[in-house]
Amino acid sequence: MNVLEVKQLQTHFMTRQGVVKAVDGVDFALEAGRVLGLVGESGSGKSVTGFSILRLLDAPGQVVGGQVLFQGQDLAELSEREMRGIRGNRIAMIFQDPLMTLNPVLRIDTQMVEAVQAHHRVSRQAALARSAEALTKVGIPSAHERLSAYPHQFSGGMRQRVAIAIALLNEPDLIIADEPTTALDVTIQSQILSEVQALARDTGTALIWITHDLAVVSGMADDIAVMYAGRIVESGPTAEVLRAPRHPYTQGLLGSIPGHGQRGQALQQIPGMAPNMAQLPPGCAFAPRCAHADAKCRVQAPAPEAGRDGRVFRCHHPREVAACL
Amino acid sequence: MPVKPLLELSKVTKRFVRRLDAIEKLASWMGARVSEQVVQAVDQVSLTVDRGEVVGLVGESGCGKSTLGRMVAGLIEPTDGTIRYDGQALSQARDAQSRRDRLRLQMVFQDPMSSLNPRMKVQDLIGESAVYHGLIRKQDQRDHVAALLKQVALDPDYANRYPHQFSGGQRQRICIARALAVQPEFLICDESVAALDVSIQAQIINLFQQLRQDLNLTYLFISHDLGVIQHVADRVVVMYLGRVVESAPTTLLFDAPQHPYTRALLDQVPKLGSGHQSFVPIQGEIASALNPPSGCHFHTRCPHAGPRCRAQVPELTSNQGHWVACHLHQGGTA
Amino acid sequence: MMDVGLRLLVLVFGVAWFARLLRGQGHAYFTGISAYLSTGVLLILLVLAIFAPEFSPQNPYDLAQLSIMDGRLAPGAASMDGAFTYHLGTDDQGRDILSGILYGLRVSLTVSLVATLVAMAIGVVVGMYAAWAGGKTEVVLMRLVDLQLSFPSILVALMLMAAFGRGLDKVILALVIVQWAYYARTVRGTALSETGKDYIAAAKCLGLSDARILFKHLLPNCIPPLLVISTIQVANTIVLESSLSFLGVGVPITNPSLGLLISNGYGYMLSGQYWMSMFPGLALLAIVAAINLVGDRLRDALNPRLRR
Repeated sequence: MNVLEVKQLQTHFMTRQGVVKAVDGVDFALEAGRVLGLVGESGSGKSVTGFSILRLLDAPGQVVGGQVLFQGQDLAELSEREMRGIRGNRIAMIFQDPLMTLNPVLRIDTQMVEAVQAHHRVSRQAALARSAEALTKVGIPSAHERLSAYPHQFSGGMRQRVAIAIALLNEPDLIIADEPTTALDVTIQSQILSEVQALARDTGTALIWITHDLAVVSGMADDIAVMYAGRIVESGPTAEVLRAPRHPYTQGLLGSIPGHGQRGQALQQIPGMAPNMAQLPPGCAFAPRCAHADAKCRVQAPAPEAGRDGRVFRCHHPREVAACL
Repeated sequence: MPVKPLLELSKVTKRFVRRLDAIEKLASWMGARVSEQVVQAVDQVSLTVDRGEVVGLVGESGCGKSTLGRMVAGLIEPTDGTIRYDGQALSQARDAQSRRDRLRLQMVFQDPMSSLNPRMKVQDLIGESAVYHGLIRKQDQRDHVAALLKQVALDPDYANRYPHQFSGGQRQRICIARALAVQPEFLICDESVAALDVSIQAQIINLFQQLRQDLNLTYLFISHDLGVIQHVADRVVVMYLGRVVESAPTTLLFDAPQHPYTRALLDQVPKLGSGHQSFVPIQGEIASALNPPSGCHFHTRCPHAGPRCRAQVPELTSNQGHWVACHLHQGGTA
Repeated sequence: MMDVGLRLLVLVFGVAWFARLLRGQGHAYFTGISAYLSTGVLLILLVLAIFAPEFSPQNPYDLAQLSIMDGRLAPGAASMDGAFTYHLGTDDQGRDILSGILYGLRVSLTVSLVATLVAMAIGVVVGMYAAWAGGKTEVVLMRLVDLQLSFPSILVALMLMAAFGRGLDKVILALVIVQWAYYARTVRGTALSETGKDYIAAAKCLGLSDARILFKHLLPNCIPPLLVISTIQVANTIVLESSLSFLGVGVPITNPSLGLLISNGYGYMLSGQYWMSMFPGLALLAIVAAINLVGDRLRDALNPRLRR
């Protein structure tokens, strides 16, 4: 059974400039033990999707349509109290900035014990033991001593690992990670990625990894979904999608990444800028920047089309290109 | 006759010292163990940049590359060592002549949000310095700015707007135009594309390449992103905790890295290939700059470390243009 | 005529400056009845104060118009010769309270505005220079600021006025001395964070002189947080000045502020002639409350973090 099923999710922000459709009809499903890479640039709606699943949106944003089914249960039907029982317990979230997760004036053990006791009736001793175990699992040495430290006594990479440990405390079925390694060095990112990979393998936790870094996704995600202007434009098994992308945006994105033998040549650049989300053009949102757009693209938004091997893309004119890696 | 390098750094060092304040001096006098905190941000770095070359400076946070970049730009004063530009030592003085001399080196910063004065129009942001130094007349400012905006592929009408009306990529272009306004020869790009989205990053990288050709510029390109460096740089310098550990022409460095740190770094960069990557991180944590390891800074995490590595700092020696600071290649680690 | 024109200009300037401050954020400012009410009241009081000679029924400081026979009349009473109604009563000298309030508002506002502006100017220069120079200069200046701020302002003001003697300019001087440190400290904080930003580094790279960077780049970015603080500080200054005048060491009798009016009528409160103190008191309350509310709304409206 799918751990998570998102069907036609729509999240709108009512701003003074108009309605911003941050998430506009997003569909995907995730099985236990699988990793989904949700990829996009700023403004694509990937982070908002993550927040919408957990109902963590602040006004003026709200989920206006679609369904989020967690282990068959529609999350929209739950009361706020029941939802709190799920957050941090069965679905956990890791944020980009560990300072958002960690309270700077509380010790680590206080915060971790609080996270455990909020959902399980265990003694403080038991909660502490569980916390130390989680810290060791994420590779923090001398876990018992480190528990009594404050967040500022850890380096950036360690703080992020503590945040991951907190996410793991209650053995959630799903973890949503929102750009957790973007601000970290390559070597530290590598440590965190290796730990997360091991954990997903060992505990069967499903993982949604939200990032803009295609290389990271390529290395660790089973499936990939590429978002643009609130919609998923292409999705499917990672290896397949990256080997042979069909949507012009995905192709452009892959061609923009430097370091793949384009020395001396200009990088492929997607012309123009990210769209103004308050004033999206009718039809395909990518059309203004697409070299292959025609009149149909500008008028009619493409519907998701299923291809072979579980691939889905939204394009009137998907193209086969020679391997662009 | 060998051509003199355009930029030459000789044993440049920067130490940041946090002196004891009055209370701490008192405490120390009374017997408390309080000591000055010294951070050796840059430790005896020597490197050269030839005219027309793009040198990529790579390293992780805390390696000192940004500090080095700022020293070259004249924003930070080196504790030790010399920086020579076109044969002459650069002065840190703030008098008019020194400031004019430094116009030939300009810097493009990392954060497009905070590197533009939010209260000035684009017109003034770009044109101010050129008018101030008498490079152009006030009447010509408008045309000069319009030409520069076109050069960075922005609409000349944007000159009347304020920075907050632009996106990150556009702001970075304005920063580049501002640097170009004083007709520099040398650009220091301090993580100039790090804060941008991938597709915008590609546009700015292409712009840098184009400008290099059109204006015959020389670059010191500082980045933590190895892919970007591989694409733009002719030569790469790798730094770790304030020291240069390896320096070589780009293809040589990426094909055959010699220093264990460079090798580990290249291994760990997520690669855009098909299939799962198994991430094998370097053992240990990056050491604190306040208390760096003795001898070779990397020995605490190096799989090949030996007793000599703990005791002796390796020298940067050259092997046919490929410079490495590692005992492994200089007589062994025993 | 010139005089009226000048004052009209001042009013227009003030309104235009306020409108510019609110540029684009009007909806965030006018969020409810209290915003409209407080801004309206403030505007009315300002107009009354600026055009006091035109609005007030009597010039209370023109001795020729006074009649001591009209002294201590209750509100609504008519003058002895029946020509004139004292809507808010008279004081012991026969002066119309209403007129006194209008002129008093004028003095209170002028003194406070001038003192605030001068204190702000001094504070900004000191704070910015301290942040820019760093090192020993900063330490010395900031300790001076701390010293200044550790004394209660009323105490320092009293001592200063005792030393200076009476006079409008001396009151302003005392208020400036008491206030500048607060601005210096705030500006230093802002200047420190602004100097760390890359646009200042870019200005240095571009070879601009230190003086030019300080005044053309740093200064304009240090001012905005001050604008809201200074609005509320005007209210505090009004209260401070009123306290001084109430205690008798503030403005001279020839040019009374609201505080002095309250002081004059204070002795008569217990004998039932409340109007001499109460109405100036209410006027003081109105102006201080209006300024505080407006300042509060301004701060919320202009705070980028609260923007929607």
